[in-house]
Amino acid sequence: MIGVIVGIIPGAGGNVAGLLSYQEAVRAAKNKDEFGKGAVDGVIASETANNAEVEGSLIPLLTLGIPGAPQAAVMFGALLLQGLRPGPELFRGHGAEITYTFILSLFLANIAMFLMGFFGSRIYARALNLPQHLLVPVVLALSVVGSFAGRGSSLDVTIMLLLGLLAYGGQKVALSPAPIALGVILGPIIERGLVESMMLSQATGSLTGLLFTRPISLILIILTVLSGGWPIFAAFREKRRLRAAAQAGARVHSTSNLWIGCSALVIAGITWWELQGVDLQSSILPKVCAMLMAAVALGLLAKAWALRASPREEKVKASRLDSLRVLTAVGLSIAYVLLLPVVGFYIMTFAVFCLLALLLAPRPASLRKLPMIMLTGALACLAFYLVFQRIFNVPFPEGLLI
Amino acid sequence: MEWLGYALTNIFAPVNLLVMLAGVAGGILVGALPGLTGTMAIALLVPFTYGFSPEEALIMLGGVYVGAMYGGSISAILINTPGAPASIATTLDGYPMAQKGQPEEALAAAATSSGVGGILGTVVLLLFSPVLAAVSLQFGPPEYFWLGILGLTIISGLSAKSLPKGLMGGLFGVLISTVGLSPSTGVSRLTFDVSDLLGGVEVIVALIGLFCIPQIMTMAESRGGTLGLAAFRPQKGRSLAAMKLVLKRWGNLLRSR
Repeated sequence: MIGVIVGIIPGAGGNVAGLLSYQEAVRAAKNKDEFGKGAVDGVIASETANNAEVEGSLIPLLTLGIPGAPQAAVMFGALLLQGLRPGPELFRGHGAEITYTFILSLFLANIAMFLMGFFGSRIYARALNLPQHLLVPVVLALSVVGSFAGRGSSLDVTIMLLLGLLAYGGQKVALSPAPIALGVILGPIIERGLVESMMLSQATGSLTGLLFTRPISLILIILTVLSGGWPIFAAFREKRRLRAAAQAGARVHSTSNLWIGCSALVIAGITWWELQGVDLQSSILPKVCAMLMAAVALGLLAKAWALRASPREEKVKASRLDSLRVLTAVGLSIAYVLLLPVVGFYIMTFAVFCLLALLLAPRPASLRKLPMIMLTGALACLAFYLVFQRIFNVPFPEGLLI
Repeated sequence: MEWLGYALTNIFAPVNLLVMLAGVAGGILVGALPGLTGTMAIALLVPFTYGFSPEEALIMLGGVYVGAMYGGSISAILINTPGAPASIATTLDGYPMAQKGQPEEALAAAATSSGVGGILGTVVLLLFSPVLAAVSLQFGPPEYFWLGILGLTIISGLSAKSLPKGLMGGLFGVLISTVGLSPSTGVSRLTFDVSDLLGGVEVIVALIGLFCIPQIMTMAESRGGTLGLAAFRPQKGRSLAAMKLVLKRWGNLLRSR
């Protein structure tokens, strides 16, 4: 039950489900000592929950268009691409045929997964030996092709990389990409709801009446207050107990707060400036967002200021070589995206593949590995050509050369 | 119930079976590789399903989703590295089992309980979603507005370690979604006079960037290479015994699903 319920809750992924049901399994067990030392019950609890969470997360996605997990958020992209709108339409007429085909196929998928896992885990175990330095460039190239494919626009590729690098920076300051992704998906739902309510209220006269008095709305409002208030309450309780422990991490916290706060203020400012002269109904949501971001940013900055004197935490610093490598990787991916429209996909992909793989290859890095890397890169390009251009017929970024 | 016949014949259509199997196999592979997550795999696949029929696309992506969830347990058990965040809890007892010389039992137990969990979950999905869909008929613009706000607060609190940071992320996401023409009034905003931005930021483009690029850069942080040889020799009957053991723990299965 735990897996499904966690799945239904928007945004809570399989890690929450797995850990929660693991805790419960420990609590229910008679011999608690065995856990952590190889108790089969621990594996059962975690794996059952995270797979049940898959289906749980699809419930709000299919019925309301609210994804229950990051993976479901991406499935939302697939629904959009196919022109399917989540909601009642997916459970009527032709929509129902598609939806139930999908749901019933999950039975088969689970059986297939069981059989493949049961009899084939030895083969999959070998896959763990795939060299990572060859995987990175392949994934990068796939991201480029994928983001280009939708509208055939190089701008989309740039946006993809820009958001990705922002999200990577966010991760460094303890801001995970999942809330951003959910915001992107929920934004249009919120905006349409708000603006259409505003339009409706021009007929009935009162916007607050429309927003705050309908019964289902009231339930949703109460749930919102509870879910927003709960973490604050929990943090408050936690803080009392663990005040000392919290102090230790304060230093790291305050730098990340500083970063997030300042960038949010800049973004809010730019947004506000761009929105000058746009009418109220078209600009209300971005304006409110900018204001809220500024408010939260000020809060974070105030906290950073309050914590500035706290004892310095000894940070585990990444070695200079590591950060240099990441910076080079970032630079390479930017060059990749910017030069793509000029040079052409295949040459650029091949070049970036070789450079990235060489950069990330395990020590001792030597040019002796280059022929092997070049061969793999050429094969990867060939595979891209055959699979995507021949079979899937996906549009490719075209340059002046190829 | 007129959909039942259609759906039943459709899931056994050769093409659909093929894409489902490919999805599950690919999903397990991607899930097993540390650094590559199911979210990423689905995000990367979505654009290529453009030429697919809706059924084929959803069936394949569903297969990837299911497969990747299990795949994460393979690396969790064998090398103590969760292949995806969802398998963090699996490392707690799975890796000790492998160290005790029971990697096979652990993998078989993971496969069995994943399968049972997934099937029970699908039953709930099948029964519960039509009910919720019927309720959603009552939803007007104000309800959708609050629903969106609710989703935003829940994720902000859960996924981030601190509420303000999660909230900040959510707000930034909403801001991105408002770039382009307003859906209700058709007025352009936040386009900075770039005409290509009028259509807004495509959802899937944003998702690919958000979920794939950070992963790539995180992988670049550690000079990778292989993660240590993971191989074992299966012995007859041990997996089967583990499966039977799992199915006897129905209390645990039902609670955890």
